Amino acid sequence: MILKQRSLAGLVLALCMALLAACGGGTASPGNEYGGGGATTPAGGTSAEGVDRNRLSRELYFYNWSDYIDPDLLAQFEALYGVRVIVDTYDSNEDMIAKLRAGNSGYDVVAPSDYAVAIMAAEKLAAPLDATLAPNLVHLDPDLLDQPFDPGNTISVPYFYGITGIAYNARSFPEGIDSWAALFDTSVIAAYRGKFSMLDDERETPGAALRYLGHSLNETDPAVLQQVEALLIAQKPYLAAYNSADVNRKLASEEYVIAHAWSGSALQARSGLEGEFSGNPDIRFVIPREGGMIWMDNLVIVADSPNSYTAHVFINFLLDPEVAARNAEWTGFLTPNQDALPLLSEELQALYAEGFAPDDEVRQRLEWAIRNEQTAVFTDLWTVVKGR
Amino acid sequence: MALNTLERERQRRERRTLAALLAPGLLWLTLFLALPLMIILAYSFMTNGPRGNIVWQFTLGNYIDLFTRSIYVNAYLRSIWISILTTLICLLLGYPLALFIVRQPPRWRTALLFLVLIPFWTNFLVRIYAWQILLANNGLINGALSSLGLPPLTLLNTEGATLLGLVYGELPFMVLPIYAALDRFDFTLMEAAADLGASKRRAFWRVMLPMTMPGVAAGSVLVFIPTIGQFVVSELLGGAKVDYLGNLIQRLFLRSNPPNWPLGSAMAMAMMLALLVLILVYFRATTEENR
Repeated sequence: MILKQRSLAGLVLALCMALLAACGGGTASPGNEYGGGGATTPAGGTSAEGVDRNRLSRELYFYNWSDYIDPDLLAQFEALYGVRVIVDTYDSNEDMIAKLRAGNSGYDVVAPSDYAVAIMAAEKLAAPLDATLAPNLVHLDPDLLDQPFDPGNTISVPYFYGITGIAYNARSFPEGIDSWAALFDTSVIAAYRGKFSMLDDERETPGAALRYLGHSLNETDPAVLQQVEALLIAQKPYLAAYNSADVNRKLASEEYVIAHAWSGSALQARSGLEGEFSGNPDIRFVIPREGGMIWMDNLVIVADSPNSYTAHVFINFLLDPEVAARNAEWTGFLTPNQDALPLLSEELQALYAEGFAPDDEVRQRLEWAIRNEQTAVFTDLWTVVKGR
Repeated sequence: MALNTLERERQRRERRTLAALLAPGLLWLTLFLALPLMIILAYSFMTNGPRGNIVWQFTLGNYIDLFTRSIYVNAYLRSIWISILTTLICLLLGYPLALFIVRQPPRWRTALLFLVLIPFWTNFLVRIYAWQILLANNGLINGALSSLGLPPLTLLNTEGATLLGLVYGELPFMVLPIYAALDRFDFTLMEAAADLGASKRRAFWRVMLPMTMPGVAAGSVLVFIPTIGQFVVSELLGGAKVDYLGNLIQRLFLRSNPPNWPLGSAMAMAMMLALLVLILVYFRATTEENR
């Protein structure tokens, strides 16, 4: 996803923080309450039935976003099937696709975002998906299946999704927030100059401006984009930063009082990130009435993978509701697995209900970002905004 | 005749030894420097495909865009401007500092030089994050101000903060070469200048500075070059609000949709070429100094 690009800087900081936390003695790895370690009895629901063990490979290479799978699940998978899953990580779809394009990447399964699935299809980088080998597909939310980037889900399966809106501190905004005006109206934002951020992303931030102006976030009409450009340039002097890396931390520490943010980072600001920073109970998240963005990462089998069967078994495993629920608890992102929702912890379910996940009403206001030759203009628009 | 053969044999053996000694280094440079550079050079003349795939079709378009479109030209100018500022400030801070260290008794000198080097023990990124903690809205400096009853200042996420971070990071690279030059400088020449009636200021401008110019030039080049390609400091201390050349190149390769490796490569090549010219000028200048 364009969305989760963790900059190198963010990673380094995370490492340092982890080290600091280690010195402080509190490094319980998140998720280990589930009794990690392979050899224990697997959780119910994930039976090895129906799997032809003779066709399984010994190893499976999963190319994934960083911190995007609960490592205990990998141990559980190995205990169940005797397949060791090796995870390698990337920071952007473009990185991942460039590797696959070169051929012989050695990876079996990847996790491209929505638009990147379409690129993989166009460039024949994906293997066909055999739904009969993934019976757990039935657990997925039908609203998130059959999307334009992969009609009929012939190559991809939803893994996690997220939404983009406004995260804010309720102590600074006791009345709540329901409009992008809170980030764009210069008569309002003057009051918190230097204390809010927009995402450092050429689609997200112009997209928010487009929705504020009443357009689709995929609008490329030059006259409209002119307005967007003017709006963003007017906003800039009030802005603390364009930040996609550590909005979570800065909201939690109240360096920002409000921010354009992904639901996942807002959730982390609210509940904290184990070993890194503690949560802030005043953080709220909202999709403004003008609408926001929705995005999704998906599991795709690589075209030249010799382990397609094993890859299907692995994907089916991740689609198991219990596994999906554990994974969602661990990563903090939204699971597209509707049968996993009742299995989530009470705390997380309460947060979802509070707005960190979309309900049916909010879903009407969400829009996918489309990427095609027309939308390439956003690169130029962003360069102009950053040039001022 | 026999002697000649013997001599030739010896020369041949010498050449072989030399080749064997040079081969690993040359191989390394070819594989990991020359070859990647050639690939970048080739990319810079290619066409960008609709999905960010490189289309093998020759074009000068990337270079034309680079030098004609104001959004790119401005990024160059901004980078050059902040690099000049950084270099000048480093020089103004670094020269007196180097002079001060050189004038100390030897054991203090070592200790002070050591202090200049200590920051290198910590990763640069981590030190930049430390500056974030100092400069933030609710950071240490503003905390101190508010406890004194003073209003808070906006320090972080400004171009001033970017400049500060750059000067902070590059200062040692200015101090060390100037120190080396001053260390070789014969300070009795200053006394001689005074005896001949030069004021202190005049002696500095006419004697000391010209004789330590190679150090100043080396320091300036060492500061200027990394500064012009930087992208981390402006992102972390400047709030990523303004693109410098490094930010733009990084974005074109990794973040834009579709990515544009050909244009990014052309930008990188143009920058490298400009720096190459600068380095040549520097070598020309220093070799003349040494004559």
